[in-house]
Amino acid sequence: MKRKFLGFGLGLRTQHYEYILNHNPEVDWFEILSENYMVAGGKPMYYLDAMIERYPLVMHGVSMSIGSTDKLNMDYLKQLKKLMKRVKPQWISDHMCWTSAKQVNSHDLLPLPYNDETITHLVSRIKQVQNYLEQTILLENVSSYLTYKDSEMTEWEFLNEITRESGCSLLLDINNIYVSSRNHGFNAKSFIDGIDPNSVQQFHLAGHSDFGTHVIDTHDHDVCSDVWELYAHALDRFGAISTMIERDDNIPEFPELLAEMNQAKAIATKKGISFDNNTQSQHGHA
Amino acid sequence: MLKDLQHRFLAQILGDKEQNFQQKIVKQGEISNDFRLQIYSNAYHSRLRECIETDHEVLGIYLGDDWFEQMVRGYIQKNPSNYTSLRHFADKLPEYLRLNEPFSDHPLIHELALFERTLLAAFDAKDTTAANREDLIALPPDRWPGLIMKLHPSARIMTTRYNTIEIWQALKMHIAGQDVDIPHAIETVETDWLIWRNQDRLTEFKSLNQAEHSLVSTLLAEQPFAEVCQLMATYYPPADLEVQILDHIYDLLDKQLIEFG
Ligand SMILES: [Fe+2]
Repeated sequence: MKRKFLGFGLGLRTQHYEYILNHNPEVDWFEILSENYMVAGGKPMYYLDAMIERYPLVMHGVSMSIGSTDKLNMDYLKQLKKLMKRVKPQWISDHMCWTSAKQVNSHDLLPLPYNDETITHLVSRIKQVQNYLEQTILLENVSSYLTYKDSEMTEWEFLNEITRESGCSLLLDINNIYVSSRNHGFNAKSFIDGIDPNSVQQFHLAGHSDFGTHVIDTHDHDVCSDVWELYAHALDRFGAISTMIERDDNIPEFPELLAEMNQAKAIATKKGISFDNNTQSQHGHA
Repeated sequence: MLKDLQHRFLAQILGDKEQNFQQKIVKQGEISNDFRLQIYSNAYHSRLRECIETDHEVLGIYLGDDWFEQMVRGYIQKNPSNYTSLRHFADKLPEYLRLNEPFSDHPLIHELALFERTLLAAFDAKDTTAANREDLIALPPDRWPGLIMKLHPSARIMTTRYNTIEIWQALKMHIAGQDVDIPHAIETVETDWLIWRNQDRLTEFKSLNQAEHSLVSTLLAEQPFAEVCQLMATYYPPADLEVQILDHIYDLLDKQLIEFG
């Protein structure tokens, strides 16, 4: 399978709009949060249009609730499709989770039990969504804090089944793998080694809060050394994968995030992976 | 099975302890199943609290920590989110404050919350192409009577019965680090305010006198210009009428608040 390599990116945050427009920083692409632009106008749409002109964008959402047993939220999908027309994103993503039940939204990315019932349910919904949006989507592995007794397989076996049967791709969040591995006591490298190498289209990197006995996915710190090491391991397995840093809280000045992105770039360069912005060509050894 | 699991888990997150959801979870590591569930309910509450805090920064300071917490707990309990975006989660907060004690005993609190929500609504309302003075002058005179001048979608009117805006302004200065006295709440004459988003995409507001209020209300109701003139005739003597109307309309045109329908 041929997948597009966008290079190294950052999550677009409102605090950085002005900096980005004034400095045109060397970032290969940005990931926008879809829900932030499901508004009628004003500043959000003004800055979005300016970003569309300047950078390749991907859209990342949190409200698809693909794993929910509620009906698919067609209003949401309609808004998403409308936004896709405006943004023309490289691709769109959401999470392999559920967020709502009985129409009540938890505004959280809640884990699914890993079993056949869930696989059947998810695959049919992913196909419906992909049909409606007229393109395949990416779904991200979430951080989790509990394991259901109803689970009958590992998370990576589950993810492989979903991507194989539905045709969707994975947005592999390296930090989420780390967080979940600590909370459930599995080996994070086994997770990476277990994932079908052809299914991965994008990486997320982020920071978390480590409480010793457990780890919470807070996106308010720098990426830690264990996660950098896992990232290097993931590059060995998956090759040139579009990578970006997510920061949602305790957001630093833009140059600090740029430096963190360049750290990811440096690790990839050492592995012989580079992205040439001018020719849009790509080199990877995988 | 999956459906039941989701309904029970969400109920547990929302605070229903009867669910015994602990039994659905594998015991792992050093933390208890209770604690694992608490991680989720804490995340739920703190995310919604943060949303209210961000939307209602001034209200938060006015209420102080205890009342703010009480409001957040009460509101989350009464209004579980049915929205896909947190942008609308606190839409019913002014109404909650108007109807529930102890907040309902202090109507200024409702007005303060409503003012902040009105600013938010103006902030990301639809964009339009505004008309200017030249566009108006260029119109043939026979088109004026039937002309519908639509107000910018961000424009809305709010009425206060307390010194709410004065307090809001003082609290804003306080947040910005200035040394200001926060006025006491006092009942005032009813005041109408126009709230809108300006050319720099920043929200603005100004008080309206009676004639301006009528004018803006008529425009919001998308009445033709002939209606507007007739209404203005109740405020101004015939000799002044034309100049006064043009003054008001020019003012709105200069603020880029009018679009020709
Ligand atoms: Fe992520």
